[in-house]
Amino acid sequence: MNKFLLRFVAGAAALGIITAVAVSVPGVNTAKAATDEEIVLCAIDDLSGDFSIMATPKTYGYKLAVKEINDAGGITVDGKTKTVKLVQYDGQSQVKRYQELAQKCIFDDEADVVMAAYTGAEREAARREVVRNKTIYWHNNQGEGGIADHYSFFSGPTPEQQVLPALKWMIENLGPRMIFIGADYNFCRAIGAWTRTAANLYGGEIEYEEYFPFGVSQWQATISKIQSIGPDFQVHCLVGGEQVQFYPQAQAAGMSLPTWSNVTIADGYEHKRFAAPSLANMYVTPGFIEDVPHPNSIAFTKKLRAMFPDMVYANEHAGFGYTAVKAMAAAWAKAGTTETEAVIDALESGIEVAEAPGGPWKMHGDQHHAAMHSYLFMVNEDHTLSLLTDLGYTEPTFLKEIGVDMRKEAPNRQFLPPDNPAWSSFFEGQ
Amino acid sequence: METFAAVFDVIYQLFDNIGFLILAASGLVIIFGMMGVINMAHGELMMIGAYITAFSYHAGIPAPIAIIFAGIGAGLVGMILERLVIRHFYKQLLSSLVVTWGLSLLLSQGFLIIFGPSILNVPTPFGNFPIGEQTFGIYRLVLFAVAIAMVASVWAIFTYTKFGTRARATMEDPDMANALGVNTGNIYALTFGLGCAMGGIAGGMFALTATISPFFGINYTPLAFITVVTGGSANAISGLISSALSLAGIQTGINNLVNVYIGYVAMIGAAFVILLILPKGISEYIERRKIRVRKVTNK
Repeated sequence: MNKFLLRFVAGAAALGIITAVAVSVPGVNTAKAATDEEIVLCAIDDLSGDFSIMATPKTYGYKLAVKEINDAGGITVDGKTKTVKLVQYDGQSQVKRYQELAQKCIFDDEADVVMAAYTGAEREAARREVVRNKTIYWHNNQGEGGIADHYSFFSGPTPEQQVLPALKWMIENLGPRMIFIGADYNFCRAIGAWTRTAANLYGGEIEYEEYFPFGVSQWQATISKIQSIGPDFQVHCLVGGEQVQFYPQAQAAGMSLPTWSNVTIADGYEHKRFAAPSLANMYVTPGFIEDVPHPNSIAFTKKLRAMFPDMVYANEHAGFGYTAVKAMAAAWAKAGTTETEAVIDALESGIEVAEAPGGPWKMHGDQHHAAMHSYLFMVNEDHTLSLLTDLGYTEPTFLKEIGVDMRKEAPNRQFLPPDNPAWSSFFEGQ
Repeated sequence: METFAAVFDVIYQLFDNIGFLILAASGLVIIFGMMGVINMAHGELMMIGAYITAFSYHAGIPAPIAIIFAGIGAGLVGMILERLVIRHFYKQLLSSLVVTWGLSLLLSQGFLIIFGPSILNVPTPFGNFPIGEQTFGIYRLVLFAVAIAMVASVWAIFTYTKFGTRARATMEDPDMANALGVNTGNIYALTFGLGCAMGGIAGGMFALTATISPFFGINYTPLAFITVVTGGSANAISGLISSALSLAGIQTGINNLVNVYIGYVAMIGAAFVILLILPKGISEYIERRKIRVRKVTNK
C-alpha cells in the first residue's frame, strides 16, 4: 500500500468515526420515556442549517406556551394533574432527519403529540411517520393547505387566508394585471394554482407565469420581460438563496413594481436582514408577526421577548407554534385524557384559542384547519412595515366545498384548487 | 426607438451574462487553468470576499476599498490554505478534488456556525438609466467592466512581470525552474494566493448585488468550472474570454427566445457539445489555428 493510499484510508476512517459520533449525538434534549406524571409534546424544528432563521422563533413559541401551561398547574387528564414535557430535536434543515426523528419521538419518547417541520418536504417526511403510527401531528406555519387527514392538524394560515383575500385587495386597489414567478416545486406550484383561482374569482389577469429551478440566480432576462409587460403588480414565490437574488438585481435595475409574496417577511423577516430598500413596495399577508397591532400580538411579543431577549423578530412561526400548544392543552383538558381518538374528538369539537397572537383563532373540526385573521402589510423604503388593512377573520371553507367532513371520514390525501369542481374551469387548457 | 430598446436589452443581458461568467471564473482560471488544481473551495473564497466586503462596508469603509480588502483577505486565506493543505496535492487531480471539496464544506459550515444563516448585504450603488419603457442598472455594466479589467490584469501580470515569467516557468517545468534558482514553493503559494485574491474581489463585487450567506459560493463554483474547462488551458486567458462569450451568447439568446430555464440548460448543453468536439477546450483550437496560420505565412 503506498503512502498516499494509506493516508487516504486513515483519513476516511477518521471521517467515518467523526460522522458516526456526530449522528449518534441526539438532539437538543436527551429524553427518556415519559413518566406517568407528564404529557409529552415532541417538537422537531430546524435549529441549525438554512432554515434555522425561520424555525428558531417557533421553538420559542413552544417554550413560552409550555411554561405558561405548567406554571398554571398543568392539565388534568386521566384523573391526575400532569405537566407538559417539551422534547425538542434539531431537524438540521435536512429532510431525511425528519423521518428518523419522528420515529424517535414516537417510539423512544412515546410522544402524545408531534409538532414538526417548516417546509412541505420536511412536513411530509415527518407527518407520514407520525400518522402511520396513529399519533396526532401538527404543522405550525403557513402552508399550501388542502391536506385532509384524520391525525393531521394545521394551526397556520393557508392560501384561503392569504392568497385569496390579499390578491382581491391587490386587484381592487392596484389594478387587475399581474405576473407570477415562482420556484419550480410543489409549494409554489400550489401557490400558482391559488393565484390563478384568485385572478379568476376577482377579475384579475395573469399576463405571464413562469416557474424556475432553484439554481437560477441571474434575473436580468426575467426583469426585462416583466418591465416590458408593465403589470399592475407581481406575485412572487421565490425560494432559496439563489432565487432571492432577484430583489437586489430588480432594485439595481430600477424596477419597483408592487409585489405580493407568500414566502417573504412572515417566515424569514427579510426586512430585518436585507439592506434597505431592496424589499420596498413588497406586500405580505401574515396571520401573525410582531408588527400586527392586535392587543394579543402586543402582549405575546412582550412575553416572548422577556423570555428570549436575543430574539431578532417574532415571526409567524412563533405565533402559531404557541397557538398550537395552547390548542392541544385545551383539547387534552376537554377530553380529560391523552388517549388519541378522544383528543381528536375534542379538537374536532371546535377548540378556540382566545389569546392566539394574531387575534381570535378557532379550529374547524370538519377540516382540521383554523379560522383566523390575516393582515396585509407593505414594506416601506426604510424596511419598516405599514399595515394596510386587516383582511378580516377568514373561515377555512376549501375542503368543505369539495365535500370533505373529517368528523365523518378523512380521505387522507391533499386537495388543490383544481380539485374543487366549482373552480375546475380556471385550469382548463393548462 | 422601440427596436433600439429591444436590441439594447439583449446586448445588456449579454454583457451581464459575460461579466458574470468571467468574474466568477477569473480566479479559477489561474488556479485550475494554469496551476491545474481543482479547487472546489473557490466559491467559498468568493464567499469570504463577500463577507469581508459586507463587514467592512457596514463598519463605514467605502465600498471600493472594502472590495480591495476582500481581495487581500481572500488572497491571504488562499496562501495559508496552499501552504497547509493544497501543496500536498499538486499533480493529483482526484485527491485535490476531494480535499478542496472538504475545505469548501468546512468553510461554509464554519461560517454558518460563526455568523449564522445570513448577514446584511450591501446596497447596489450607481442607480439606473432608462431606455424606452425599461430601466437598466448601471452596476451590472460596472461588473462587466471590472471583469474585463481583471482578465487584462491577469494577462499583464503573467506576460510582463518577473513574477509572471517565473510563475509560467514553474507551471511549465517546476524541476527545471527550481534548478535555475526559482523558489517554486513561493511561486506556487503566490500564484494560488493571486487566484484566491481574484476570487475575493469577484465575491466582493457580487456582494453589492446579491444576498450574502455561507452558501454564497455554490452560486458560482459550478459555472466558474464550466467556463474554465470549456476555455481549456492551452491559453487560459483567450480560453476564458472565448468560452464566456460563447456560453453567455447561447444563454442570452435562448433566454430571450424560449425562457430562462431552457437558457440555463442550453448553456450547460453548449459546454458539453464544445468539450465533445474540442476535448481540450476552445483555447486549444485557437492555439492550433494560430500555429497553422503562422506556418502558412512563413511559407
